[in-house]
Amino acid sequence: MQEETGRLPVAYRSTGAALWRRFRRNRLALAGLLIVALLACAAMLAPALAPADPARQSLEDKRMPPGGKYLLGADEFGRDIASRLIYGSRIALMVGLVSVLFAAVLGTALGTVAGYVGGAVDEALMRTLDVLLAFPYLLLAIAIVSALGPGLQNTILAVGVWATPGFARVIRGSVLAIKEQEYVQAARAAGAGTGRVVVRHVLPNCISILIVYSALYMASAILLEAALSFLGLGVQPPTPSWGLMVSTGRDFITLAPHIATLPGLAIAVTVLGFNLLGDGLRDALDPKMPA
Amino acid sequence: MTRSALVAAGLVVMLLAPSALSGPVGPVRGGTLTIARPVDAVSLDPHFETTAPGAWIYQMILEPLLVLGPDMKIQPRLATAWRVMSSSRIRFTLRRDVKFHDGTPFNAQAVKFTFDRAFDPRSPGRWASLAGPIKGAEVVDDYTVDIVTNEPYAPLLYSVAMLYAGIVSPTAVQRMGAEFSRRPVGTGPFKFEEWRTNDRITITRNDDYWGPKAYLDRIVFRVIPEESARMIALRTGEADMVLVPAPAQLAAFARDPAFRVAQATGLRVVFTGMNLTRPPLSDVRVRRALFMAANRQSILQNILEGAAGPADGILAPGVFGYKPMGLDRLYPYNPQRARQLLLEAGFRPGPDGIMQREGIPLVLSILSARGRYFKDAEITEAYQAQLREIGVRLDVQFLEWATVFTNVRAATLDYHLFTLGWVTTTADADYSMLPLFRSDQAPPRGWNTWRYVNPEFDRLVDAARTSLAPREREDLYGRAQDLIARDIMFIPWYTTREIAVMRANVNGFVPHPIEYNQGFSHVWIQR
Repeated sequence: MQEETGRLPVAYRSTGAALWRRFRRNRLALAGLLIVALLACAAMLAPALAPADPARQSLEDKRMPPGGKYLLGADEFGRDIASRLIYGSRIALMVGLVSVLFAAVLGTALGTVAGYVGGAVDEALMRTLDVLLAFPYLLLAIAIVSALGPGLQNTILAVGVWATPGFARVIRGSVLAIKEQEYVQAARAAGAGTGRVVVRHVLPNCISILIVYSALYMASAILLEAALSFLGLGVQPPTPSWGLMVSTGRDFITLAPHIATLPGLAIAVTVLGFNLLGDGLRDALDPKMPA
Repeated sequence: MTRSALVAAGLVVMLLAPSALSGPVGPVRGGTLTIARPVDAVSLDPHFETTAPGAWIYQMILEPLLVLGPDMKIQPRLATAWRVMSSSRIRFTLRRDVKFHDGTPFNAQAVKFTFDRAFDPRSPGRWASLAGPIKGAEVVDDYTVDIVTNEPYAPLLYSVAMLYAGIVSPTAVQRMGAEFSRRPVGTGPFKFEEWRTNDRITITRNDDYWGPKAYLDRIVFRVIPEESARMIALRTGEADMVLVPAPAQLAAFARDPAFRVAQATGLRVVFTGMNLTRPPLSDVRVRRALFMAANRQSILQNILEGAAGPADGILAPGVFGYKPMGLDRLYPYNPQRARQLLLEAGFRPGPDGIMQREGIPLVLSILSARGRYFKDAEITEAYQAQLREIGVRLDVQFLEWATVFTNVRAATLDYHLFTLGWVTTTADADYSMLPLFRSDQAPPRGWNTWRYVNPEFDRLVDAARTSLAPREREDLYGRAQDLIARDIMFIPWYTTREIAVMRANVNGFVPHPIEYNQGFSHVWIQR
């Protein structure tokens, strides 16, 4: 059929194209996409983009203001702030991506089991996750990092664990709704096993909500990484992390405000970017919104 | 004159006015002095803590028989007189009018109790390892006590004058047990009131003090880890005094008439030490390479920014027995030479630029606190970058001071390097040379944290300890320091300057070369 007409089935074509059409009309969402795209470029091309080695110190250039020898100035060790910001985007994105992926996979698995199986399993899983949710988010992350020790891997783990219950709740909610749909019941009536029903019919319908949530959680994950690094519990020097840069730059906030404010700005813009993107995706993916 | 200049002039007049109008006034009683400092105490009992964060406070609660004045001369405290009976026995006459904060009378029994507790071989006090060959105290009568040593010991008076030798209330120790370490009871001008861990320690004036009573009602030691937050607390009036102030802001505070900067040349040397039991640091060529990779001059200028002086050894100038090691001559900053030494030790540059030997990259771990010593973390981080220049990777972990302390006091040290400071509390080389380097002084017994073993060195410090001839002792310590310089196991970064920034209405504070010997009895707040 497809080969004969040379066109995609109507339903398929409209999903992708309509999504983009709806998304495109939202200027804020486009701005978010642009920010995230620029950030991804910075992270991937860091060695080519950065004017200097981010760990290289020239103590005599300490706290040099922006302009002149250093585009965005030098920090308290005479390191190039522009280069540290560019390399710092790698840490922010890596922690965000890996931890959100971790949370999405684990949260989806838990949420699907809870929602689809229901009953006592649902109760047990969700009450356990409620306990995690009851912790103030920073406290939970600090507890995990304190127990395991600071560092990149443990930061990712802490952020991932923190994000997991949120994903599990949302997915469970979707699964609960989807499993009552006629097409799921039809598949069951046709003799499809639980595994097939979940993989072929339930999970694909959770994808859109998963995408939206991932984008929104990226923003929070990056913020949480910055907070942990700010407290000295995240990545350790000399790895450039924006949170750590704000933290150490704070000591010179009156003398050389650029050291702390520039990485602070980077965190703010990045978080804003992911939030705008997430909001835009949610609006575009919501089938109840007029096309 | 422009409008803004007028406003500025008005502000200056307003700032100057109170002091200009009131003129000189005498000390006033009352008020609370809030001191902001970077770390909390480990304990308030010299039995468990001999480092400054705790000593700062318990030295106002517990009093020794003698004290060291700001001029580093011995002054009487709970003893009124002393007489050298022999080269290993000194007889002290005690004050008769003294009571502990819990009402227990102070007498020779209390002195004996304190020394028995510290020198109990089953659980010696932490300060016992720093006190020389003291055997104990012997009661002569109620108000006369002998301090005796196992062998002739020249600096004995200085050991008795260490603030760790503060006399504790026997009844309180017996009644409170382990709790005593958090709520000490002594005879001092201030009494313990409250300790909220990692937040604040409060002490109040002892109105029944035997000597001149303190002016302040209360002193609050607040923990504010961030340098900038401490300075802001001072500006906003939340704190009256800041310890370990921000070097970069000192000039501005010194110019500002609303504040006062007090400083004294300190006796503490802050250094990065090397653990000789962890290869490849057992190889002196590697240690020399690590030394020559350090740009100490640049760190002193750009990170300490005038808030500390140069260091040329483990002792500070001003300590008896100090001999400059000539480290700038022995191991000048020279990255090329440092690389050369690593090549001689069998290391070759790896694909990532990190030196390696037999496939093992030269990656070293370092134990460091943030904020315990002036710029400790910043120095560690600068050194990390300097080591990278010679192909050595330094893995840094900044830990809380109490954790660092526990690590360096443990029988094994899992780190290659550690950043610490050492103050010669008695101002006599014996206090440092023996516990820091003698082969039997590895922790937990002493402070030989590098695990240096050299019988020749041991003989020199032993001879210097028992000799009573100053000239001979000086010579022996000089030779001991030459050995250490040759075998080098530490990189001294700076000698402290003890600096406190306070509001201008805080009067009577005289900084002491030993940072935690500060007397607060004479401090008063003008209102």
